[in-house]
Amino acid sequence: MTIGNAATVQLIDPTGFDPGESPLVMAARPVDLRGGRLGLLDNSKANSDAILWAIARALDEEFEFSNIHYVQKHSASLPPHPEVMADLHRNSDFVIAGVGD
Amino acid sequence: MVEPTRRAEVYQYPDTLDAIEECYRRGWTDGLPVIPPTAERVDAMLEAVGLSPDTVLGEVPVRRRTLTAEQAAANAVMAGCLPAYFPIVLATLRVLFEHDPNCIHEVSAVTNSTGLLTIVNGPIRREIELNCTDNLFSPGYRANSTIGRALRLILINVFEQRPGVLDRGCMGSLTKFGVVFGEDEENSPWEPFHASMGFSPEQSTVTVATIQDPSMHGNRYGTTGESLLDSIADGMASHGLGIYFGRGIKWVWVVGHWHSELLGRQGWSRRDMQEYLYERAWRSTGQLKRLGMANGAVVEGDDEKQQMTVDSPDDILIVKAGGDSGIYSELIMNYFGVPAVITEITEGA
Repeated sequence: MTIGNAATVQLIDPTGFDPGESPLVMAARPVDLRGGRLGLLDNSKANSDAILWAIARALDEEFEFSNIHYVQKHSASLPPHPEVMADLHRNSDFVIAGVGD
Repeated sequence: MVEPTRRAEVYQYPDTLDAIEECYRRGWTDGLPVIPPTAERVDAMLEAVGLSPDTVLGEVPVRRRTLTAEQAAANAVMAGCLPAYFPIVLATLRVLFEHDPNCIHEVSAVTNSTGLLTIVNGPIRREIELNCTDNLFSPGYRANSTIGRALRLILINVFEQRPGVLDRGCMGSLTKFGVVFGEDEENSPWEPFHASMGFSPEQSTVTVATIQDPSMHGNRYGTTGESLLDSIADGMASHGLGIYFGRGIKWVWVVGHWHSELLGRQGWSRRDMQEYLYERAWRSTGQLKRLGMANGAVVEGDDEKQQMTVDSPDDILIVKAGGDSGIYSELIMNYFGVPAVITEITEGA
């Protein structure tokens, strides 16, 4: 195959792409944290719970949450099970996810 | 619906070297030069397995990426695979997708640096001249080197497992260049590994596992099977290798030539060896805590609690491979992701 006077080569693109079947939509930002329900998503790493609870207590002093809901993933490197996500959605207005090691 | 794979732009080049440089510029390599994935080469790869370019091989939901046959073939071409190798690449990928597609994300999201292992059994080893003996884990054999490389290029290019981006390995691993070898069935005192797992010797299989760096073990002076097995159990329970104890972890013991000769001569069966190793490869909870391998302070009773390296003798896989120039074996720890799954190679049959 040639373009103009030069030889050419056609390369097949080896890269992946998002098929775009379900566009990602950002959740509405909370206007105020005061009195809201805080979710904590522990990724199951050692000491992750300690970090998350320390942050939660500090924030709670300022914002006086109506509830703090804690859940844990089954694996640090895999997404949460759907039921864990559903539980978090039901019981939280905003979530902190943490990593510890 | 998944869109048909895009084909890259046509561009001018003065010679093939410039096409290779173009692959670098586009970020399509693992750091080494690649074979330019031209349409003709990709088509030959697809024809070998009878797949159309837009066949979807699998999807990784958490990465929002699908893998088409054409993308897999393009990466296999870039790695230097011959079309006859492609069924092994595809069978390995099938294991990953069937186990849990998100495990492809898992093995790069972990800071623990994890590679892919593919052990091949059956006639296909000879058909593609896959190395089963001398310098088993070394460069030098096209089939061994390029099949593993193809898998890594797919992980990089299709699933974005780029170092420092979505590949979060801390120390990294040489296994990420690919670890592919065949069992030395012809010189083994035991039945082929895949036959021990219920397959016919005439079938070709892949056993796929996500792994830590292998470690060589040189028991050179032991004259009994017990001496050799004790040294292997010691390796499995070591601080450096045994990052995890139990928790579904498996181990692969690649028994070198002279080690297998000794064990075979003394009448050790696979099952005997699995049970012997299982019973001896452990540490106490107290030891693990003192070495920082378990969380928390040592408490009364910790030194009496046994932590086995595996949950069952079945979790110790024993295959015979490697050269006969020295007296060595290799130990490989499976890691979360794919727990050593075996399947028949049906692609291209």
